[in-house]
Amino acid sequence: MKSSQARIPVKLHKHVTLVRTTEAVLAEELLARKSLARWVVGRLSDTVLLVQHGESELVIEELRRLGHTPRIVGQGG
Amino acid sequence: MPQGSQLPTSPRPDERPGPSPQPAAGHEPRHAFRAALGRYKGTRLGAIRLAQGASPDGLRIRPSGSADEITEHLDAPASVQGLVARLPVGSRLALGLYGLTEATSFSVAGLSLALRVVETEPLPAIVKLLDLGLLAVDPDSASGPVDEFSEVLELVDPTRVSLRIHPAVPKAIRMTRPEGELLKAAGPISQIRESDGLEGVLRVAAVWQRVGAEPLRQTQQGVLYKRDSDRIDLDPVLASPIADTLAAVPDLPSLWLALACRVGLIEQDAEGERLLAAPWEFWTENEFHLPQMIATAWLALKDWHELQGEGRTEIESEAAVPYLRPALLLWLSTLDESEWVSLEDLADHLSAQWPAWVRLSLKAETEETSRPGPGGGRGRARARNDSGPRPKALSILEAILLGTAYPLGLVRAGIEPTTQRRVVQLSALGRYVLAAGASPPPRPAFEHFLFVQPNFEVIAYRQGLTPQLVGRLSRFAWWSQIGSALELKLSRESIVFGLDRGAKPNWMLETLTRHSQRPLARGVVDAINDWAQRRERVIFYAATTLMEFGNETDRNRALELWPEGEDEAPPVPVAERFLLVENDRAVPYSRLRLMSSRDYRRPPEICVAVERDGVTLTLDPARADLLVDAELSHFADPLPSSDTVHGHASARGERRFLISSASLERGISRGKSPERLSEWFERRTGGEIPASVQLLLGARTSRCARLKAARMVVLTLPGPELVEGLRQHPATTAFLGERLGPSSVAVPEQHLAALQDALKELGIALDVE
Repeated sequence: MKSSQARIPVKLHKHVTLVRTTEAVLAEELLARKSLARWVVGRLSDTVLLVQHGESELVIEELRRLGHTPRIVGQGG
Repeated sequence: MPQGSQLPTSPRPDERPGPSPQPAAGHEPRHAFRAALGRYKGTRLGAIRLAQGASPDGLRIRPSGSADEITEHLDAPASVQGLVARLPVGSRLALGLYGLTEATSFSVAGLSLALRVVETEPLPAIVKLLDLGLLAVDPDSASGPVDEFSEVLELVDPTRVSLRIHPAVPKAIRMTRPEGELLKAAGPISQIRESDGLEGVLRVAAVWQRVGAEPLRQTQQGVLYKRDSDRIDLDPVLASPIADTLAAVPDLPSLWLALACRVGLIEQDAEGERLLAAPWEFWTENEFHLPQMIATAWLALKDWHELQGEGRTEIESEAAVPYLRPALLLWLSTLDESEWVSLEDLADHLSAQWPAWVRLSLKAETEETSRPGPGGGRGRARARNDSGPRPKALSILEAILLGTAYPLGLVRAGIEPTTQRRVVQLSALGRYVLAAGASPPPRPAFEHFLFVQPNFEVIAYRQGLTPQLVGRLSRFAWWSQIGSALELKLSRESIVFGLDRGAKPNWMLETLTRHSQRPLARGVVDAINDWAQRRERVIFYAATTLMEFGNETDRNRALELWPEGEDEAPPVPVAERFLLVENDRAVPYSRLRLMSSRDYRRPPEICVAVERDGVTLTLDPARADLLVDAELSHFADPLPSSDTVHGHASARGERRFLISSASLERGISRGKSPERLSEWFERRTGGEIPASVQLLLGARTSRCARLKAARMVVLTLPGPELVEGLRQHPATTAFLGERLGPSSVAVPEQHLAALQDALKELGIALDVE
C-alpha cells in the first residue's frame, strides 16, 4: 500500500471539555479571570482552552457572569 | 346526551414527574399492575382468570391463573371490551375516572370519594373490577397476600391502598355519565363568558422558559430547594393573578409548575436531582393538543388543589379536592350544549346525595358513615338545606369550576336572568375532554397581533395567539407580563435561549415580521443578528471529541478526507496536530487507524514512567491524555525529543520532562504542595515521589536547608568484636564517636591523642596515617 493511501494513525480524546474563542485576545481575557482560570487545565492553541471535566455548569455560569453568551455544544453528553 | 363516548387520547406518557415527584422505580404502569397482582394468593388469581373467561383467540383457560396470564389477557383490546361490557354502570364510571384523568392509579379513598359524588356506591363497583382483574389492589408492603378484596378495602387505611389499572383498559373504554339528572337553569342565559383557554398554555410556557434558563434543584425527597422554590413562587409572571377568572385560587405558581410537570414540559433529570425544561420539540409535537393535555393534567393534579395550595396545610395524599374535579365535570357532561346549571343547584344536588362531599380531607371522608345510599335522594333538589354545608359547597364549586376550570377553558359561565345566579356548562374544549363533543374549532386567525417596539418590548394581543404561536414566541422572547395584556421582552439572553434550542436568527425575525403590525425597527433586526453573532465568540464544548495526529501533515490529510455534510459542523483544526469534532459520527474512520482512545469521563490513567534518576519523567503516548501535559507543565519542563538525559535516550514517540529546582519552585509557587505532588505521583505514576525529587523538595524546607560537613578519623579494626571491646572498655569508650560499620568507628579528631594513650596503656599501638 502506498504511503499516501495508508490509514492515518490517530488518537481519540472523547468527552473533552473545551472553550473555543474566535480571537486569541478573548482567550487571554478569559485566562486573566481567576474565577474562570481555575477551571482551565491547559491551552491547546491560541483560541482553545482545555477545561477540567465535570465542571461544565460552573464554567458556563462563570462565562455568563463575565458577560458572555457562549454557544453550548453537547451539554450533558 | 351521549351516554358512552370514546375519550380523546392524549399523546403524553402516563406518568410525569411533578414538582414533588414520587419515586419512579417500578412505576411503569403495566409493570406496577403486574407487580400488584403478584401479591395476590394463587387461588385468587385463578378465580380472576376464570372470571375473565376465554381469550378472544379461543385458547382454553389454564386451571391456575397467574399474574402474567391475567396481565397478558388484558393486553388485547377485545378482551377488555368483552369484560367492560359485563360491568354495571358504577364500575364503568370508575374506569371512566381513570380514562378521564389518564391516571394509572387511584387511592381507594380518592376513587371512593369520586364515585360517591357521581352517585355510585364505591365498594361493589370496585370489587367487581377487582374480581375481573381490570383493577389490581396494591396495599402497603406490610400487608400480607391479597385474597378477599372486601377485607382489604375495608380494613386497610384507604388512603394508603392503591388501585392500579392495566394501561390497556382506559384506552378500550367509553366514557360513562352519571345516571342522575341535574336541575337545569331556567330561561335564556345572559352575560355568557368563556375564557380564551390560553391561560394555562401561557403560564406553563413561562414556567418552561424559567426552568430552561435555570433548572430547579430538588432534594432526594423531591422537594425543591428553597432558593429555587422562591424563584418560582416570587416570579411576577407566574404569581400574577389570572386576568379572566371568576374566582381566585391560591398559590398560582405551584399550579403552573405542577401542570407543566404533568404535561411533560418540565422533566426530571436521570439522577432525580433537578427539574429541567423539555426540549424545544415538545412544542412542535404537542402544540395542537396542549390545551387538552393541560386540562387532563389539571383533572389528575394532586400536588396542588384549589382550596389549600399544594398541600402545605394538609397531607397531600389526603386532600379530597383533586378527586372532586373529574366527578364535577362528569356531572356537567350530562348537560347538553343548550343546558346550564346554577352552582347553587349543583351544590344542592350533590349535598342531597351525600352531604359529606364537602369534606376536604379523605380521612374525614373515610370516617363518614351517615350518608344516604346511592340514589337515595336522586331527583330534583330544589328544596335546599340552607343550614347545611351549602356555603362551603358553593365555595368549593366556585374554586374548582370558576377558579380553574373556567380560565383553563373547560367551563363557560353565565347568569340566570330570573334569579341572577351564576350558571355553568362545559365549553367546547370541556365537552371534548369529557368525550361529550367534537374537537373544538380552531381559534379565528388574527395574523398581525404583535406590536414590536424599538425598545425590544413586544406587546401581544391575546386574540391572535394560539398554542402554536405561544410555543414559537416562548422560544426566543421572554414573557414579562401575562394578564389581559401580554408583554414579551427581547434580550440577548432570550435570543441566546432560542439559539440554544436550535432557533436561527432568520427564523426569529421571520416570526416577528409575519405577526407584527408594522415593519420591524432596524434596531431590533440588528440587535437580534448581533446577539446571535456574539454568541459564536465563545463556544463551550461540554463533551466533544479531539483527534490527535502524529504531525501536522497527517492532520491536514485527514481534513482533506473529511466527508462534506450539509448539517454537520466541519472539524476545526486546533494547534498543529488536533482536530476538534462536534459530532464524531462524521469521522471517516475507514481512512484512519485508531491508535488509542481516551474517555475523559473516566478517572485519569497511570501514564507516566519515572526514570532511574528520579527527575526524568516519560509519557506513555498511548495512555497519556491531554490533561497530563498541563499537569506536568506546572512543575516540570519538557525535554526536546532528541535530547538525552544522564545517558538515557528517549524512545520513539515518547515525550520526556525534567524536574529541576527551578521547575519545582514554579510548581510550589502555583500551589503544588508536597502533598498534592505526592497525590499526583500516585495517580499518574502509580508510585511515591522519587527520592531525588524529595531531595529537591527538602531543599525548600528547614529539614535540610543548611547541611554541615566535617573531617572524620575512621578507625577500622580486624573484627567487630574488637570494636565492641573498644566501645565497652572504660579506658577507651569515652574517646569514640559514631559506629560506622561492623568493624569501623569514628574517632573525633580532638580525642585521637587521648585514645592513642589509652590504647598504649592497654598494650595496643595506634598509628595514624
